[in-house]
Amino acid sequence: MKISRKQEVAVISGNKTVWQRMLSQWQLYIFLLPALIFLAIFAYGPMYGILLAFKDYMPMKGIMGSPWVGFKHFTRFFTQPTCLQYIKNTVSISLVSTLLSVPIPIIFALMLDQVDTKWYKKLVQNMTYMPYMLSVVIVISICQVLLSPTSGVVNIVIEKLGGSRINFFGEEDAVFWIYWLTGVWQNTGYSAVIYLAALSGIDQEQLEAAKIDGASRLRIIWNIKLPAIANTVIIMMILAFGGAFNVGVDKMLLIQNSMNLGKSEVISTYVYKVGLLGGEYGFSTAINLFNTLVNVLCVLTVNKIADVVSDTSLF
Amino acid sequence: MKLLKMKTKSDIIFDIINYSFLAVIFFAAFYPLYFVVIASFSDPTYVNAGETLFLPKGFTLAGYEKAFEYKKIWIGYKNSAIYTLIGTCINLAVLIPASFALSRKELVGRKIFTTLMLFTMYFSGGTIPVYLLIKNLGLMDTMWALVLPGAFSVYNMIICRSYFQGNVSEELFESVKLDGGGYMRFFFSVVLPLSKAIIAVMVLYHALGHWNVYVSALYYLRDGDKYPLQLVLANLTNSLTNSMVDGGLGADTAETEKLREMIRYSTILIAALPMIILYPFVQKYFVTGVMIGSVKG
Repeated sequence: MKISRKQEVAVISGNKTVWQRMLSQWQLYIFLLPALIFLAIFAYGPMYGILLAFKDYMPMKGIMGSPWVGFKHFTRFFTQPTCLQYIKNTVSISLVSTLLSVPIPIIFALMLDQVDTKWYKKLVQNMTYMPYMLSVVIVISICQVLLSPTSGVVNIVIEKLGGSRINFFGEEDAVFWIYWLTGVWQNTGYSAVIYLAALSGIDQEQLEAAKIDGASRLRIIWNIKLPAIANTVIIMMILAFGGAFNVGVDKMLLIQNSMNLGKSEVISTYVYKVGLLGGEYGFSTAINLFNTLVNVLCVLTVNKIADVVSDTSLF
Repeated sequence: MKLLKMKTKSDIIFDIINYSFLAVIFFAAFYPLYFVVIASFSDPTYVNAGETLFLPKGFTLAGYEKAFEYKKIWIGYKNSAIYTLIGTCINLAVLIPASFALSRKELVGRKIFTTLMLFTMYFSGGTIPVYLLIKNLGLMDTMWALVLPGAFSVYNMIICRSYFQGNVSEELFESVKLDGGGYMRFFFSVVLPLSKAIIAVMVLYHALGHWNVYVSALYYLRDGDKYPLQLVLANLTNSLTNSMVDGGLGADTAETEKLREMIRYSTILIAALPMIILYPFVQKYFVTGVMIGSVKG
């Protein structure tokens, strides 16, 4: 007991070596160990497999034994005629969903914040938040039945209004809209929660003072409420734009079919197809690596811009 | 005070516009699922004629009866329940202690560990390297391929860590130390009881993730008896939509076409039901989680 007392005193006074301090914290390292093991195996382990991007994989020889091929896979990808199309699809889909994902929840939260009727506010908030719980499979399945050319309610309404039926999932141009709008449908309510929390933290006295001075509601929103959530907005923007080159492979695979392939083939689905289905491990890994690097670059750039412009950054 | 409550004319106009817009948004969020519910209980003839836009017509349970006969759905349900339960337990067992350790500012190497973790949020080996790893570890076609790779979530660690830092006071640790206890005792007898809120949030986040898992099942599972619900549903919707498989309904007549339509609606609801039922009970925890997460650690 006495010794441990002494140790504590030493910790506080800080006159122990690093080694001694680590020893006194052995229990914390045990807490940390499982997480580190999982990270080492499942996050850092596969990074060694990135070597495949520069090799022709031969199952018998393993990753290490397979022959080096340099940048062959990259050259092949960048020179194939469909390359530009895949990149274009990826960027269009992800960039617009990112652009939509930032302002819509903010506007929605500001609108909701203006509602005095408690039950109405709760009702709208809870309902819009619900789709977040549903899986992409359910969301896309709902889309498929609602947009079905034979029995979908959307087409029925279109026909009633005098238009002609559209096979949305067979229409290349509809792909993007399906992806964007399901994203808005699923995430708006959820993303708004964070802004609502920030809005509820605004100093009431300031608001009342503004009201007494005769400021209109739009004026209050613009001059008090928006500045109050500015930091949250910037953080959310960094997070959103960090993934600005990312298309959810699960959602895209579900939307995809042979008719809309021209617009629905994105880098992540192509990686899956040539790799897992086609068995071209090296080629697939190379494309994947390219995608990952662009993503990392995105995060760093956006973070840097935010840091310079507004002094807010993630790292 | 009275002055503040009083509404000017422009306020009233503002309110009318605002409330109406919100009503439209509410409708847009609500209607897709609502329509699926109505359609699943209605005779497809009326559905296709557009007579069931707001209320069901020609009430029938045929779609559900047929859907209940699909054994795969129930196997999927069972699998998803097991994967969710085991997966969430592993997540929490890894996440909570690690977050606690990283919340202690005196931890030697804290910065290095955190950086190593954050790095994995943005950089990963990619689809094929992970696939090969899972294959080499012998996890292919087992539930472990779904549960283990994401066992530790860095993003959730950050949320938990900031919760511990903000809600567990240093004095409590001092008093445990005075009693001769260490981190172990502090964690189990003080920190855990104080952290019920964040644990509930984390259980929900992870459980939802496991319940909704789709892509890793598609990548790593071959045996149909091991498919989770989402994969079963995706395959079913696909085959019903493309009419490639008749789903054991017999010849492709108008009658089977009708049945197929109904099954599509009813299977979506059967799959979504657990979430819809649980939602009212769990949504406040989700909000709590978002609030904690928004306080950047």
